[in-house]
Amino acid sequence: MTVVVQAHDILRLAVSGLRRNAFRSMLAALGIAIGVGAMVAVVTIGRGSSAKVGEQLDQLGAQLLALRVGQDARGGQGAQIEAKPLTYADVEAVRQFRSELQAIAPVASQSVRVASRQANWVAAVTGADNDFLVAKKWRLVKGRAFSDREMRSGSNVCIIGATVHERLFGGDVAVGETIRVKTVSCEVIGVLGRRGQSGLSQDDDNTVIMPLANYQRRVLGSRDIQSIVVLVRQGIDTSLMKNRLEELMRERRRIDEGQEDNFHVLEMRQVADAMAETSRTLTALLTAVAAISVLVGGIGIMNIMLASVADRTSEIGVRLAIGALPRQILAQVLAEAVFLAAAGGLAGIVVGLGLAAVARLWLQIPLVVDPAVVLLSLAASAGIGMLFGYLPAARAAQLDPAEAIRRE
Amino acid sequence: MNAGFANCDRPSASQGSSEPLIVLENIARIYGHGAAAVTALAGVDLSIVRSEFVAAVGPSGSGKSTFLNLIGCLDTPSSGRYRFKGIDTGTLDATGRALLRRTCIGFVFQRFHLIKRASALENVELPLLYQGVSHHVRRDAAAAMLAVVGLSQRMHSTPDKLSGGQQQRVAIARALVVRPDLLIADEPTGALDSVTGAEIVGLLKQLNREVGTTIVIVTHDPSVAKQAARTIRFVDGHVMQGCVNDGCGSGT
Ligand SMILES: Nc1ncnc2c1ncn2[C@@H]1O[C@H](COP(=O)(O)OP(=O)(O)O)[C@@H](O)[C@H]1O
Ligand SMILES: [Mg+2]
Repeated sequence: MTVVVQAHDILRLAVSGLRRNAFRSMLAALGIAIGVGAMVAVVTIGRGSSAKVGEQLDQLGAQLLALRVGQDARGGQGAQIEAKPLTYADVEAVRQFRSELQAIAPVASQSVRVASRQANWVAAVTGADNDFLVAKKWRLVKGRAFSDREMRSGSNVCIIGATVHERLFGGDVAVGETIRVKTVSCEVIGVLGRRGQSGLSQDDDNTVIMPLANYQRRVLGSRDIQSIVVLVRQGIDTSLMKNRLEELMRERRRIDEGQEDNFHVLEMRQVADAMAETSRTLTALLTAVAAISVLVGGIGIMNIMLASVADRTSEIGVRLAIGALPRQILAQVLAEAVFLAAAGGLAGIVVGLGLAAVARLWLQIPLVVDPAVVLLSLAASAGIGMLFGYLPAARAAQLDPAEAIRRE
Repeated sequence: MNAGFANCDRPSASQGSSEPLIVLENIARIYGHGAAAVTALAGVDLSIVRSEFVAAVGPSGSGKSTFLNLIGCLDTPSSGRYRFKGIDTGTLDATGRALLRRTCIGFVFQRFHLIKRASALENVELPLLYQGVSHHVRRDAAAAMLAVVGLSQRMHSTPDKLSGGQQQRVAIARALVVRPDLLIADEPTGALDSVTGAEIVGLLKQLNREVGTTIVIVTHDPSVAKQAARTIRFVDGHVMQGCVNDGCGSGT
C-alpha cells in the first residue's frame, strides 16, 4: 500500500513554511501579481475596446458605405489627385441600385462657426436630406426631420446634434430658436440624441444638419457633393455593393483600365474590422510583454524558494529523519511555490480587473470580464509556480539527511 | 506493507527469530575523496539485539555520530554490510531508507531539533502525519505519548516556551510515537544540566524497560554511560571490545 499524506496536510505544512518568512513570501508573490495584473488588465481592456468597436458598428450600421472623392486616405498616397466633385447626376446614377439600397444620401460638409444668442462654437455643418438621418441611424429627441417642402425650397432650417445643443443652448429648449451658421440664420427644428465619442469617427454629436441645397447655396457656395452615403439593405453583401458602386463610378468618371481611381468607397464594416484588428494586434503585443513579466515573476519565486530551502536545510533534514519521504518534501516545497504563485495570480487578477474598471471610465469602453481569462490566469500562475518551484523542491527532496541535520 | 505506525511491532517476515536487530559487518565510512578523505569508521563489526540499552562512548571525532547515522539509516556505509531487522540496507534507495526510518527508527538529537513554529503536540504528530495517519488518530496518539513523557500540561506550548529538558521530552515523544524498534540519541543530555540530563536518561531507561524499545545513545558523560547495560567504546573509527555493565571500561 502506498502511503498517502492527505493533500490538506501538505498544504498546511506549505502554509506554515511560508509563514516562517511572511514578508519574503509576499515579495516573491509580488512579481507574479504585477505580471498577471498587467496581463488581465490588457486583455480585459482589449476585449472592452473590441466590444466597443462592435457596438459602434452595430450603431453606425454595418451596412453603411460612403462614396467619396479623392483617394482613400488610409491608402497612404494621401495626395488628393485632382478629383472632381460628385454631381447630382452621380446621385441619380446611384439611385439605379434603389432595390439594394435602403437610403441614398448625398452629403457636403465643413467645419463652420455657429452661434446662438448666448454663445458660439465650431461645429461640423452638413448639408443632407432625411435619407442621411436614416443611413446614419440618427434619432431625434426633440422636434422633427425635414419636410419635403423644406428640402425642395431650401428653407433656412436645421437639426442640431447633442454637443451643439449643449454648447449653444446649455441644453435648454432649442427647437424654434434661431442660430447663425456662418452668415446664414436658420431655425432649429430638431435635436439629435446623443451618440457619444466613438473610435470610428470624431465627435458625431458636434454637428448641424441643413437641407443640402440650402447648404450648398448659402454656406458652401457651390453645387458640389462631397460624398454619397448609402445604407445597403439587410442581407445584401456590402462588399458586393462596394464593387458595383466602384464600377459605376469608374465608368462615369471615365477612368480607364489600369488607371488609379480618383474616388473611393469606404466600407464601414472594413473600417471596423481594421480597427478591431489593430486593437487585437496591440492587445496581443501587450499581452506578450505582460506574459514575459509573469515569467520573470516565476524566476523570482524560484529565487526565493531556493533561499528558503537553503535556510531550512537543517529542518528538512530533521523531517527526513523522522519520517518524511523525499517525495513528501518535494510536494511540500512545490505546494509552497504553487500557493505563492496562485496567491500572486489572484491578487494580480483583482488588480488587473480594477485597472480595467478604471480604464473603462477613462476610455469609455465596456468592462468585459471573461471568466476564461480569469481562470486561465489563475491556472497559468499555478503552472508557473509548479514550473519554477520544481528545482528548489527537487533540491530539498535530494538533501542528504545526515548532512542536512548538521547544518545549522 | 509499509503503512501503519504499528508496523515495527510485528516481526519482519525475513528475520530469523535468533538474528539480532542490528548487525554490522566490516562497516567503513570514509568522508571525501583522495587526499581530503577522512576515515570516520574503519571496519566495524558489531551486533545489537532487541531491547538492549547501549551507550557509545569515546573521544570527540572517534566516529560515534557516524556510527549512529549509519545504524539509523540516515547515512550509507562506504563499504561493508549493515543488516537491520534482517534487511540488507545496502539494497535500499533513499526512499527505501526513509520508509524504514519512518516506522522502525526514532531519532533524538543533542539540540532537540523541534519545529519551532509548531506546538509540542504538532511536533509529536509530525511523524504520523507523514505516514498518512488521519488527524484524530494521530492527535490522540501524540497526546498519549506526551503523557508518557510527562508533558500533558504543555501540549500546546511551542518549543520556545519550554525548558531544555521539556523540549528533549517532546523530542523523545516524537521519536517514540511511531513505536519504533530502535531509538537512537546523539548526546541527548549534551545540552542539559546534569540533573535534567539524569531525568532524561531515567526516562529513556524506563521506556527501554517497560516498552522494550532498543536504545543506542552517544554520550560523553560517564554517569550517563553507566546507566546503559552495555558500553561500546570508539577510538579512531574502531570499536574496542564491547563491555557489559562497565566491566571493562578504560582498559583496552
Ligand atoms: N560530513 C562529514 N564530512 C567530512 N568529515 C566528517 C563528516 N562527518 C564527520 N566527519 C569526520 O569524521 C570523523 C568522525 O566524526 P564523528 O562521527 O562526528 O565523530 P564523533 O561523533 O565521535 O565526535 C571526524 O574526524 C569528523 O571530522
Ligand atoms: Mg558526534
